[in-house]
Amino acid sequence: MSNNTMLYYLSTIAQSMAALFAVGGIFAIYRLQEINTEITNTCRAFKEYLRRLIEFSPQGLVKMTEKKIAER
Amino acid sequence: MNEWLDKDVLPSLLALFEKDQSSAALVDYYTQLNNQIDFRNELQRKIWKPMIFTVMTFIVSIFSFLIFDRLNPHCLFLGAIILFLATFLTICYIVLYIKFAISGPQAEIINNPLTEDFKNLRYARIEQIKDRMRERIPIEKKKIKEELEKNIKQSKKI
Repeated sequence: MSNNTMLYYLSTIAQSMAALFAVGGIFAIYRLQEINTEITNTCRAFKEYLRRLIEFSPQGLVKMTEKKIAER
Repeated sequence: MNEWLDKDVLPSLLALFEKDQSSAALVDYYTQLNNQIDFRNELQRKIWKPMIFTVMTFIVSIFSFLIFDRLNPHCLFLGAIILFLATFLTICYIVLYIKFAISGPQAEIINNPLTEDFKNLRYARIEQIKDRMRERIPIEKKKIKEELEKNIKQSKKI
């Protein structure tokens, strides 16, 4: 192998590694942001669901009907 | 954000809503949330390996590029082969990481608090809980109806 070939080879590897680092890093950051948003949305939905579940649980339903009957 | 979400929360919630038909949805929500959190943790943990390999290969290639003239040709040839292998390995790691990241949190259940044993057992137990919940729906519906009828009768008596 000539000197030039080796120099080209080494510089190509260095540049490829820099590019790969950038691509991998950007992809990881993008996915992390996306999954964080998903988690926030699921948390919000879960909390809302729990709130509704407490309101409309069987005991809650009985209490509501009792209230309605009392109102009559 | 998730302080309220610990491992004891699901059993207590299930106990609280044991008589409710929507307990299966509760398990679904909880599992989904856990999957997403575990996936995020895995995503953060797995990024180090490809990144460290990339930086190491980059540094070695730059360094050998700079001290190229002083190196022994035989040593240089061996170094070139090792660098080639390192590059190949790094590309493999990055591709695997990207594949994992694309797969999304639904791909597999990691560290589900419901079961901490084997993966198959986790699926089986989740399905078992869901089935049990589904079986309870008609029974609980009947009970609710009876309770409501009782209430109505009592109110009529009054």
